[in-house]
Amino acid sequence: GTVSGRKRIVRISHAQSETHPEHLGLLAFKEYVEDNLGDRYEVQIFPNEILGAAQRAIELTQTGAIDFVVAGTANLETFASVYEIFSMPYLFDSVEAYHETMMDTDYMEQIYESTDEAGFRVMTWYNAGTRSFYAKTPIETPDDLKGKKIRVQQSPASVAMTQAFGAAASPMSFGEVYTAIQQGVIDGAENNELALTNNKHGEVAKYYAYNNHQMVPDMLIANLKFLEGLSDEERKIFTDAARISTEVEMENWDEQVAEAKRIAEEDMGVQFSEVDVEAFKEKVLPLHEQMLEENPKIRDFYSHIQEVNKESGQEKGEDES
Amino acid sequence: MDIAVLSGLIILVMLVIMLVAGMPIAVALGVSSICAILPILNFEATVVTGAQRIFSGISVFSLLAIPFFILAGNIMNKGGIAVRLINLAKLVTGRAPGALAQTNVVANMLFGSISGSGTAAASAMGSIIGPIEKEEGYDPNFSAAANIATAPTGLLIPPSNVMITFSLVSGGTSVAALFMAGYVPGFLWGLACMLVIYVLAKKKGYQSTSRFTGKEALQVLLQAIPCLLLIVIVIGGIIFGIFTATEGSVVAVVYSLILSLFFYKSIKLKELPQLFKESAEMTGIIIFLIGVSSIMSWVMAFTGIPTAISDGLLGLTNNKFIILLIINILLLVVGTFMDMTPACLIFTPIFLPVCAALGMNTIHFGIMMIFNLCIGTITPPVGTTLFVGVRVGNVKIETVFKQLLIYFAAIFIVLLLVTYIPQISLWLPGLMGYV
Amino acid sequence: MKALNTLRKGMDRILSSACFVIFAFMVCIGTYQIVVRYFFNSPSTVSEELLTYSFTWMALLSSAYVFGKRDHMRMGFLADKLTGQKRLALEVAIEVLILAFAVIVLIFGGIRIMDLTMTQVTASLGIPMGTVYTVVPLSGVLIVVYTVINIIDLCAGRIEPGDTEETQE
Ligand code: NA
Ligand code: NA
Repeated sequence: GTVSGRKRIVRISHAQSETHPEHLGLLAFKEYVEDNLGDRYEVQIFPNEILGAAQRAIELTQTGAIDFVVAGTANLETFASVYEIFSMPYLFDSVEAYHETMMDTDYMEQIYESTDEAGFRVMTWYNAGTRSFYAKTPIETPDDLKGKKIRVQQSPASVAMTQAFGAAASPMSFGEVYTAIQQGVIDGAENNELALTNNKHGEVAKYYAYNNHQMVPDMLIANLKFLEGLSDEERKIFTDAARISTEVEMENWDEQVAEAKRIAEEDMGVQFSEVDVEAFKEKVLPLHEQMLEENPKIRDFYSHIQEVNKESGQEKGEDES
Repeated sequence: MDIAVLSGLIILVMLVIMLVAGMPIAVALGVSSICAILPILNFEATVVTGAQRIFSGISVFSLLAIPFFILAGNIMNKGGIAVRLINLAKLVTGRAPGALAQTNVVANMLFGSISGSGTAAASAMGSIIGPIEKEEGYDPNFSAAANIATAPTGLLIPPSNVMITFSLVSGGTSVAALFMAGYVPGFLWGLACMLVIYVLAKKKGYQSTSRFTGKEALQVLLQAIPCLLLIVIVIGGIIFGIFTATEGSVVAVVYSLILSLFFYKSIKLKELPQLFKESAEMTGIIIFLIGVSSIMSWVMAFTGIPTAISDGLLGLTNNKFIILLIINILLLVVGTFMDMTPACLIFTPIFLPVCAALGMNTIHFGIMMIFNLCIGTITPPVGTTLFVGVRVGNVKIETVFKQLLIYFAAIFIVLLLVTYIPQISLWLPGLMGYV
Repeated sequence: MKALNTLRKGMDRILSSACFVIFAFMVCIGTYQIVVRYFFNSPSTVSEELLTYSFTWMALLSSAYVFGKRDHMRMGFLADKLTGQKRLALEVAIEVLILAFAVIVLIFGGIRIMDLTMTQVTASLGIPMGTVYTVVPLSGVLIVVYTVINIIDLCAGRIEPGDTEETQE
């Protein structure tokens, strides 16, 4: 952080482009903070990883060189292993259960505090949608994944999940994926719909299967010393700004996903298919037991989510009947 | 004062003083960047940022192609591939005026395309063809100028390390697309110089007398096939999805090792450690520079320097034609004083946003910039390829420079074509589906 | 004085051998990565990370070695015109700045970043990130030793101030 003239410059780093919902959410954060504390704070947003990829940007947030950074939960795993839970396939039964869990600020706060020792605190979450597989050839059943080379994120959990589906997990950097699919080095990848349009993967992979294996949020984290140095009034404004940024991000997310789907379908000729999710789920459910066994820190959170799953399942049932 | 302006001034002043004093460029970049953020951040945040940026600037998978292509180039240099390519080039140029100099150009394009190094081409070709040209009555300054003027074509014709560096610093532009984009500008550069040679040689009456019999021609062709196959395998393998661009560099190493160890038997097994060590050294020099300059890119982004510069440039005029001309001239000036890699690392984050704002394609910008910096490698006062060419050609910089001027004019025209006609760069990658 | 020379030669030998070994290892892993993915359809999940970090170590160690040889890229067009005492003073000043940079950024910063990341593990190999970062302070220490020897040798006239090659690309 810096003091320039009178104003303290607050720097936020994230990995997305300037049109991405997260950037729009952060613009709302900036606006709210500057509307209320404009005489004291100036918020600067650095998109496109220009201050470093997530893991490195977190390190810089630990030292205070950067004040806020948006990072995936996979990046937080090594600081607090409770975050490993999000890589568990089919953790949430539905989008409703996912949103309900994440919106429960009181419950989430205890999880957000788990990285305090590392010098940073999660402020809020951002919706990053639901991840599914897409490839050059159709994926209708889990058997269609057999032997396919699928790019996954570089994390042991993602590799284990993809292998459980019977595919060959090929961890490579995200920037190489487009050409790798185009040239046939890999057969496909897994991500949300925005990857098809923002990263143009829809030009080379024409089949997107809604098998919905993961819902992984992104997190806005803050340097703890910065937060603790704020007055109560200022702290409240930053907290409110974070909440508002999530609301704006979520609205834009839904809009952009719908738009991405339209563009992918109409302009790129991508076929979206609804598949039998249960068949996919069956393949990877054993991973739940295995992960709970290996990591006791996720057990409480896991049973909390199972309750939410049950409740929202019942509500859904009542609505439908 | 605005942070961007203040930090920009600190970096600029310190950098110029240290560079002129002859500091290693990497250290000059590092020291000036660190000094620019010390007043803003605390000591701990500053040093952690510095150490982390160096490390993360280096630990990038696509940079692996650099040591591998360097190693492959060194193996081929030692493995006698240069001679085989010269023979082939002689066959191609035949009895045209100045055929030996034309041979030199074609050989530079072929060899540079494989080794990806302008200095390697200049030294290998210059030292082999130079003496033959002298015997045929060519003015050594004429021969050296032709050699020097075309040695950088190998940096545009793929594979090319500076393109890999550009891909990285421009935020992950496809290396395969950049490689494709370099072909036409590289060939145009070579062709423009061949035209100059044609005119000059005709005036001076340099006409070749040597002639190949059919049998000799066949033999030359057969001998060159394994060398040409390397280009086909590496570039073809990348295009047809057998391996990624980065992995292609590994294939180049393995192929040239097998070729020179087992087929040509031109390298002995016990010579390998030395080849690896020399390549590692060259890698250390380039990569350390890349690592440290990522401190500088970070500091510039952090303090908002590129935005300030591009705002300033765009505030000057919004005529695309004039802005591109200004950028070209600035880059040419930079190139005369600076080596390609550091120049590419420092100026991409500054000029790319300006050109992107003008609607220029990143690949097109990259080729324009690399083309520009290639010219810099053959201009004094800092021009590595020029120095090597002068050394192997046994001439003086002053005398050869006079001969080079007409080539500069021809190359500059090609530069303008590359700048203002995007299709020259984008046609081939478009054909391959990269754009 | 002889001890200094022995130290320099010893470090040179160890470093260049280490670079050779790591480099050769990289060629093997790179080949392995292509072969298992293309021919056996089972992509390696660790080779990319292994390659990247081996390369980082090799590059930083060899750059320390090059500092010993005073062979890093520089612009000599004005500095090389100086001679005698002035030139000596300039070259010593340059070595001192290199030393300061190595101590402050590579050693201080490197040790701090190691501390910060000892609990972090790398994505596919699962080794502590702090261990991987060790090469930063390590190369810092090597550069410090080299620059100290260089300064002593410069002052004693055992290396000529102009004894730095113009590097080729
Ligand atoms: Na080349
Ligand atoms: Na130059």
